[in-house]
Amino acid sequence: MTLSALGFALLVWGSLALVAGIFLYELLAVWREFGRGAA
Amino acid sequence: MVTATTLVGLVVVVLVGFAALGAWYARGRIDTIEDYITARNSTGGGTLTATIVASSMGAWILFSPAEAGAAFGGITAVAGYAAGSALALAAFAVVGPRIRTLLPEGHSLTEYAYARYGSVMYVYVLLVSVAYMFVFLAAEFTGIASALSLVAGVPGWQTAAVVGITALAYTGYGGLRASMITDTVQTVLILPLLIVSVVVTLLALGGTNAAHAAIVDTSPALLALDSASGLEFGAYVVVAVVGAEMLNQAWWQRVYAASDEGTLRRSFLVAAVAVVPMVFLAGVFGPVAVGLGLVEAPADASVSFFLVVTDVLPDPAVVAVAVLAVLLVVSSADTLFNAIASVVTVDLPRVADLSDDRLTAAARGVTVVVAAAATVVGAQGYSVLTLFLLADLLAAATFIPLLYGLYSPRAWSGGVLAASAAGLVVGLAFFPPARGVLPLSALPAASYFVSFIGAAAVSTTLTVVTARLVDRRYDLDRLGRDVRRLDDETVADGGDR
Repeated sequence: MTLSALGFALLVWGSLALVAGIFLYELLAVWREFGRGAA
Repeated sequence: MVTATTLVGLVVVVLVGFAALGAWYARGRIDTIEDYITARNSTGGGTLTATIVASSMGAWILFSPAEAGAAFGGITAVAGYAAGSALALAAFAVVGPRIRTLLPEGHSLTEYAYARYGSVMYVYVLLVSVAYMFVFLAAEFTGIASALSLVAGVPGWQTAAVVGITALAYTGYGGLRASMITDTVQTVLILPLLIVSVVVTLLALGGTNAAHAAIVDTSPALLALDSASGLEFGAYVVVAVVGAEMLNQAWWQRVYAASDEGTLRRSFLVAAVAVVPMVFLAGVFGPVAVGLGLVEAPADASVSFFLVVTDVLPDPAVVAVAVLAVLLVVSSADTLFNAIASVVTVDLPRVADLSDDRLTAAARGVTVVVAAAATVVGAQGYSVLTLFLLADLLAAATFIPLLYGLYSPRAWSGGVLAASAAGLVVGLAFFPPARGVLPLSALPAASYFVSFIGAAAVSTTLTVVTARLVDRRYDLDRLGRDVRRLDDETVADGGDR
C-alpha cells in the first residue's frame, strides 16, 4: 500500500498547519505569562 | 554559496543575543543551588511547553528522521520516529506527577535511584544517564558542525566553539532558569522558521505533488505504508527513544520546574503533540532527497535535509535554515549542560560537606567541563551513531526496572538489577555492532529490532517476576522523607531496601 499524492499532501500540509497552531498557542501562552509577570 | 565568514558572523550575533538574554533574566534569580538546578514550582504552562519543545527538538531532527526516511524504511520509519519522540514526552505527563507526589523535594533520577534501590543501581543509572546525555550532546555538536560545513564551508572547530562558548556563557551563569527563558524565545523562533523552511522548499520543488511524483519515480518503496523494514524500524526506535528519554535528567528537572501538576501534564502533552509534525516534516526530506537523486552514497542519507535545501533554495533561505539548525542545537545544548551538571551536583552532598555557595560553584564547574568536552568532541567530526545506539540500548534495558519502583512497593534492588542486566545481555546478543567484537556467531542473525524489543521485554518481565517472587515491601512514603532539598541539612539517604 503506497501513500497517494493526496495523502502525502494532506500529511505535509496538515503537519504544517499543526505546527502553525502550536506556534500561535505558544505565542499566546507565553505572552499571557509574561504579561502577568510584568503586572 | 553563502560564505563561511557571513554565516559565522550571523550565528555569533544571534547566539550572543541569547547569551545576553539568558544572563539578564537570571540576574538576581540565582540565590541557591535549588534555583540553579531546579527552579522548583516556578514555571507556567507556556514557558514549560516551550522549554520542553526546544530541549527535545535538537538539530537531530534535521538529520535522523530524514536519514530514517531515506535509508531505513521511508515514510513509516519517519512516522515511528515521530511516535517515539511524542510518546517519550507523553510518558512524563503520567510519570511526572507520580515523581512529584512521591519525591516532592527531589531533583534528579539518580537521587531517586539511590533512595529507592541503593548504591549499585544508583551508580548504574548515573552511568547510563550521563552517557546518554553526553552522547546526545556530542551528536548535536557534531551535527551542527557538519551542517554548517556543508552549507557554507565553516570549519567544524569554529562552529563547535561558537555554539559551546555562547551556550556555556549563559547556562554557566544562570543555570536552569537561563536555559528555560532562552528555550522559550528559541521555540518562538524555531517553529515559524521550520514552517517557512518547509513551505519555501516545497514551493521551490513545485509543490507536494511534484515531490511525491519524484519519490514515486525513483523509489516508491519509501512511500509504502506497509513497509516491513519501516515498521520494524518504527517499532524499535519507539522503544529506544522512550527508554533513553526516561533517563534524560532534563525532563526530571522540568517535572519539578512546573508550577503545579496540571501545568506539568498539559505542557508535556502539548509538547508531545508538537513534536509529531516537526519530526515528520523534517523526516519527509529523506524520501524527497532520494527522489531528487541527491542521495548518492549511504553517508548522504544523514544530511538529506541539507542536500535538498542547498539544492533548491536561494542563499538567503539557506542562511535561514542554518540559523534554524543553530537554534535547535543551542536550545538542546544549554539544557543538557545544566542537566548533566545537576545530576552530578545533586549527589555531591553525600560525599562532601559543601555549603550552598560551594555547591553552586561546583555545578558551574561541571557545566564548564561538560561544555568544553562537548565542544572538543563535536569539532572532531566523529561518527557517534554506534555510541548513541549503545546508550539507547542501555536505557532500553533500564527504564522499566527503574520506574517500576515508583509504582510497586514490591520492586527491590536485586530484582531490578538482575532484570536490567538480563535485558542488557539479550539486547547486546542481538546488537549488530556487538557481532564485530563478541563471539556470538552461533546465535540467530543480529537486528536492532530484536535487540531493543528483547532488552525492554526481558527487563520488564523479570522486573515484575522478581517483584512477585520475593515477599518484600518498600514503604514508598520513605522516598519523600529521604530525598530533601539541597538547601536543607538533610539529603538523600540510602538504606535497607
